[in-house]
Amino acid sequence: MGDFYFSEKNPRAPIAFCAFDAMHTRFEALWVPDGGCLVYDECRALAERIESEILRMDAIFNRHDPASPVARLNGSRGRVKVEGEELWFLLELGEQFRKASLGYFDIAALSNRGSALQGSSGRSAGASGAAPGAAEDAACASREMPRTEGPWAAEDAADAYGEVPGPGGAWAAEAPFRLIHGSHEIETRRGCILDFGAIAKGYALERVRKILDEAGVRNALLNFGGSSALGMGHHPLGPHWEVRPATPVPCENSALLHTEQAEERGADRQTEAGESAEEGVTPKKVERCFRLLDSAMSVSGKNREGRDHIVNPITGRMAGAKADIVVQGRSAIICEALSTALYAAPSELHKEIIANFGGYTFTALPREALQ
Amino acid sequence: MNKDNINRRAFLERLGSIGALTAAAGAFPWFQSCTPKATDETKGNVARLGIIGPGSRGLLHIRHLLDIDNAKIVALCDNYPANLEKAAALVPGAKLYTDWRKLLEDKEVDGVIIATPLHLHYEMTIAALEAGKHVFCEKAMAYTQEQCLEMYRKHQQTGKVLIIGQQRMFDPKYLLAMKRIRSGEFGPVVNVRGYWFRNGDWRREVPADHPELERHINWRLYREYSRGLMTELACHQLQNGTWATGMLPEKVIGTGNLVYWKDGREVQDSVCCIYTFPNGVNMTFESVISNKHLGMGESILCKEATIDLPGNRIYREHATYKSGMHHLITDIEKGIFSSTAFAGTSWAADNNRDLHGEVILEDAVPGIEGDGSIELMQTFCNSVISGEQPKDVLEEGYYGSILCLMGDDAILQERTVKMEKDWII
Ligand SMILES: NC(=O)c1ccc[n+]([C@@H]2O[C@H](COP(=O)([O-])OP(=O)(O)OC[C@H]3O[C@@H](n4cnc5c(N)ncnc54)[C@H](O)[C@@H]3O)[C@@H](O)[C@H]2O)c1
Repeated sequence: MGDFYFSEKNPRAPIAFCAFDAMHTRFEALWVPDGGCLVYDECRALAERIESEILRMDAIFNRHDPASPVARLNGSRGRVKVEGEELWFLLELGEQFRKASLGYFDIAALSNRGSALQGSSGRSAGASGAAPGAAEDAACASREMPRTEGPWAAEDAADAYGEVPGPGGAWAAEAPFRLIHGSHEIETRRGCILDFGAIAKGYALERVRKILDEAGVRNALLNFGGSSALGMGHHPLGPHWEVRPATPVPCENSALLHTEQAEERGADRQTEAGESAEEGVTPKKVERCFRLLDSAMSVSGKNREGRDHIVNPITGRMAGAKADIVVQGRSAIICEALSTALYAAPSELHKEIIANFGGYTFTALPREALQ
Repeated sequence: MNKDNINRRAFLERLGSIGALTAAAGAFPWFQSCTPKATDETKGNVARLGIIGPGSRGLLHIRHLLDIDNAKIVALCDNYPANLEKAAALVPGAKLYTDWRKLLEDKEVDGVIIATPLHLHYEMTIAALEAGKHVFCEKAMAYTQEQCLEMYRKHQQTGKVLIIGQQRMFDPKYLLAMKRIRSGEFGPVVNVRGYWFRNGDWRREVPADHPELERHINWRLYREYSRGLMTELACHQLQNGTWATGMLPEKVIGTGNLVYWKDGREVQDSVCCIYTFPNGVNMTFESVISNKHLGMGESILCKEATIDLPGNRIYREHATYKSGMHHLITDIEKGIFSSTAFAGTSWAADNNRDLHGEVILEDAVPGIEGDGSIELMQTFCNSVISGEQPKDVLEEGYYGSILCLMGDDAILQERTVKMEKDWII
């Protein structure tokens, strides 16, 4: 088992904490013992449940593990049965997100479509980086994508990538795969690579939320590698959870940051007795902060070494946006998918994409602010 | 006293307050000879010193000595008047000599600092030891392995102090890092890398009215006086390898050429040598003086970390995740409602290299002031007064020089040069 910590040092706010490596990063959970999970042993058992659940997810969605169902799908050609309900669920969800995000979220974004297609429109090139024609314009290309009206959930995900639905029908010109709904099958083309890296962590967080909920825990903060976080209820000593960027982002550096939140920061490092722990903090100087109150957040952008790793599914090129994207909202899965899509998409399309996801907001954090 | 002087003094005093250094001094006993405690023990005495060859390096030693309480420069010698004058201006009361043999006859001189070109180190050191002087001789020790060995034997015979100018052995950050490397904290040493890249002709200006001084001033460029990049630059970096591994390389292969500065010089401007330790670990030294992009680097590569010695940093192979959650927990325990810092793009264990590293010595003094040179001078002064040879310091310097000479042999002879039994002391 990974790290576990239980503390009653503050009798008014006991806490339990667990952390372990999973999904190529580190998972951390801090919760307030509650319900049927109050004492050390109960909390420890809960931590073990959380860990085994996340490792189970990891075993399903890790495409680098040859034994995982996703790796097996990637290694298959033609029509095969999808193993397990959860994988099917995320495949369907991925399709719905793709449509609602105008094609900028795509679990098959890494696919080498060019190699599979003959006489395609030029929207080729996969993660290997074969450059599409210079005339290829992300914004224009996206206009060709099928649109969804209203929220993502409204759309029936029957016809992956496609104009033509149903088993046996013709595929959309460049679809690396399609789902066959009745039989839970998938048909893949050569070069198809499915990657759940941009929703699996969000999904795992939702699973942990469920486990904690069932145990009677109401207040918890979950962190998956810094890029996906979920706040259940609120901080034991405050009205919500508050998360800052790992690298400080001063508010004054960005017009995009909400000053209203900044103003309140001045007063939020307070002791229980109420005296201010940071005298004289002026709102302008304080750092950017995100509040979580029964909600999630996700950050997408260059990796921590400053390299791009998110592929723009429309162009097949690395998405090299200037700003990292933070999405906040109810579901950790949607936050994760949406932040990836918005990072990949040209900024002109951000409003249009977010409009398809009611209840979700985004913030762009200019990269220079993070340096 | 100018600001630099204050800093230099303060730095020497600070040594006593770096707790971790006490442990390092235990592991590398030569360092004990320059601590404030060792200096205190010499109270009431001064080391009366003569400087032979106060050129560029010699002048730096003089500046350091002027800040050392138990040092007194009583004599200066240089056969190039311009340099002798410069030195005399810094030390007005010192006796001036143009013939170094005369300086050695001076009864008021207890110890000499030899900072002349390489080819003179042997002759001057032997004569000085025979004259009953303690000797600090600049690196590289001498022009050949045999000369180095003879100097070592002469030191043993006369019982006089002999120290070679390998200042890294006194650089606090090197000491701290080497102690940790030798303890096995970072796993086994798997490679040692040293390189020195510069972009310049490596020339000193010769007065227009004295072209005949070319060889005297630019002695580094001529084989009669110097063995080029290997003796002038490599010996410092090669010493890191023996220090980190506690072993001597068995052999070296090398290649060197004159690639760019074809101006009549006789030494190479591009060299590359690979030394191999008995356990198969390689140590490389590479130097090019027509491109400076990579600068200077000295790294010890261990299984679990890379130690960047001049950079004062340790880079772990497996970066650990540091989120703000731990602070949040502490704050809750203290009854504080605070935010936690962790939001960012995903921290990835696989490809997240440890970019920032961990500092070896907090507040390390950068540049020449913090590189061990002043500690080396303090050590010499204390040793001149006590008459005691600091432990292991000569042996380390000796092998540093043997290795660089072996490398140059390998380059010149185009063959693998093995460490000879006779050279082992
Ligand atoms: N430890 C270090 O980091 C370091 C740095 C630089 C130089 N050095 C070493 O210091 C030594 C000197 O190098 P430098 O750069 O100061 O050279 P330099 O040419 O500036 O100084 C040498 C001095 O010796 C004098 N000299 C030459 N022949 C003499 C003689 N017969 N009698 C008296 N004086 C004589 C020269 O006139 C000159 O003033 C070299 O061995 C070099 O490798 C060490």
